[in-house]
Amino acid sequence: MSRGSSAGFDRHITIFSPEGRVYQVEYAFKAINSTNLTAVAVKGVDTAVIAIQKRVPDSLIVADTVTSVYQISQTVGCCAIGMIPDAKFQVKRAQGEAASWKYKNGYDMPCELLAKKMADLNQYYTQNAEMRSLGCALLFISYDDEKGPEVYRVDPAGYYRGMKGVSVGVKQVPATSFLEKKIKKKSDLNSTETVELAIEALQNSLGIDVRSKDLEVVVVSKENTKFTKLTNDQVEHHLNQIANRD
Amino acid sequence: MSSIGTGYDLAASTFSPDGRIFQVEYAQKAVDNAGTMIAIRGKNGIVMVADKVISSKLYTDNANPRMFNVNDNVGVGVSGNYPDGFSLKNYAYGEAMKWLKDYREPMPVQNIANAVAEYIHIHTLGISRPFGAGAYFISWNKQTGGRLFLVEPSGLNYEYKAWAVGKHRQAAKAEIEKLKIDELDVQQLVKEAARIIMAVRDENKDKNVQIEMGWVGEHTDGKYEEVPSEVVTAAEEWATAKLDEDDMED
Repeated sequence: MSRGSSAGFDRHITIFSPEGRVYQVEYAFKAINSTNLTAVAVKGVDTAVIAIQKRVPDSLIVADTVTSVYQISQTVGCCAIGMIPDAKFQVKRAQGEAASWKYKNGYDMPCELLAKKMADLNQYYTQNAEMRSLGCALLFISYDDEKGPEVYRVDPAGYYRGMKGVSVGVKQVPATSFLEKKIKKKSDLNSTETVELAIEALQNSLGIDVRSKDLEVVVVSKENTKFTKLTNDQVEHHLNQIANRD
Repeated sequence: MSSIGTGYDLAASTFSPDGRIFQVEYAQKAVDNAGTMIAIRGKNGIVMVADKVISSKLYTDNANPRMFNVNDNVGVGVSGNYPDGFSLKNYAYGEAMKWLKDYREPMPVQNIANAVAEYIHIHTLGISRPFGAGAYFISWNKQTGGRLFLVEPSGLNYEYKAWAVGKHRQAAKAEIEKLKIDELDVQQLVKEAARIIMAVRDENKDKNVQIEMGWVGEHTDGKYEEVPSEVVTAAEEWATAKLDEDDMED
């Protein structure tokens, strides 16, 4: 990785290097992989899903308190991958923004606008030296009553986009290639296909057999617009369906 | 493993090229190099123990305590840099008072832990230096049983069944894992905890040390209290006898 001919100064705060790069933001991206987890999100015709690895760091920790998925509002859920305290900070902010919108406007904040708001905040940190960028990526899902299921990815650079399928984390490259191949063949996925594609992409990229205790899967759909977490049994059922197919 | 963060370790507002924040890692070292502190959740209560270094014979008994009440039901034990830990205790106390004023009920331990974790995290963003201290939060009530939380200088906050921080944390954790903590009641926990602290001490380096303990459980009716000094002394005596017995068996 060429570091370029810079005085080294531009790595401390968010200023440009002579090649026009902002190193601190690039380093923040590296921090996303610090927990060695991967998440995959997919949207179908009327369902949006996030599947993430769950890893409990130590057997003395109460497993129920370890999670990467958070409910932002009645209709928007998110998963945050990266430095955990930074993730919680962003989630708290997102929850506040969604609640404030609901209070001022009388209806739930749409997923896109929430993603845009979080992205704009991230951009602010990249331009102001008072605070560093946050080392985590966010995936928002929601069932929008006008646009249907939505998946948005927000990263530390302040970039946000709606995605049909996306992966963040250590194994994002293999997971993304897998998603690209599958979605190219068929992108109008029904509810079950959406869930199974997300789980399959995650399993495939991790390269190991996953059990339901190693996964967290959250879903929003037309029938159930409230953000729901699948139980271990439901996840196990999907894993078996995927295994039987192969 | 110590890595050199030269150039990238001057401020918490700076990431290193591999995405780490060295200032936060250094703050964690303040806790890692300080006196051992363990907390264990048993059958009907939780016990917290600190191995304090008494730096002067001129101090009164129990000067500079490490364990405090946040409110009647929640106890906090601070590890690492003492003034930083004291400041965290005061913040927790303030948040608990605000909650009590707003909701007319005592602030639950998870909420206290989360509030303090957020506060610690904000200090890792570069506005000021991180806290070189961590805190255990413990409480017990009839409905939920015992709950134990640890907040670290990075702002990380998990609930634990038991944990150890400080100089001899690896050895202490190994000892804890040998016990069947779910079956121990608070009186036994106090003795085992004293034994573990004394077992992991380094006789050559750890001089002038004193054990400080706090507990909460069914026997205190869910109120956090300092363990009475007679109980601590009795536990230490039991522990000394047990350790001597174990030494003779070896």
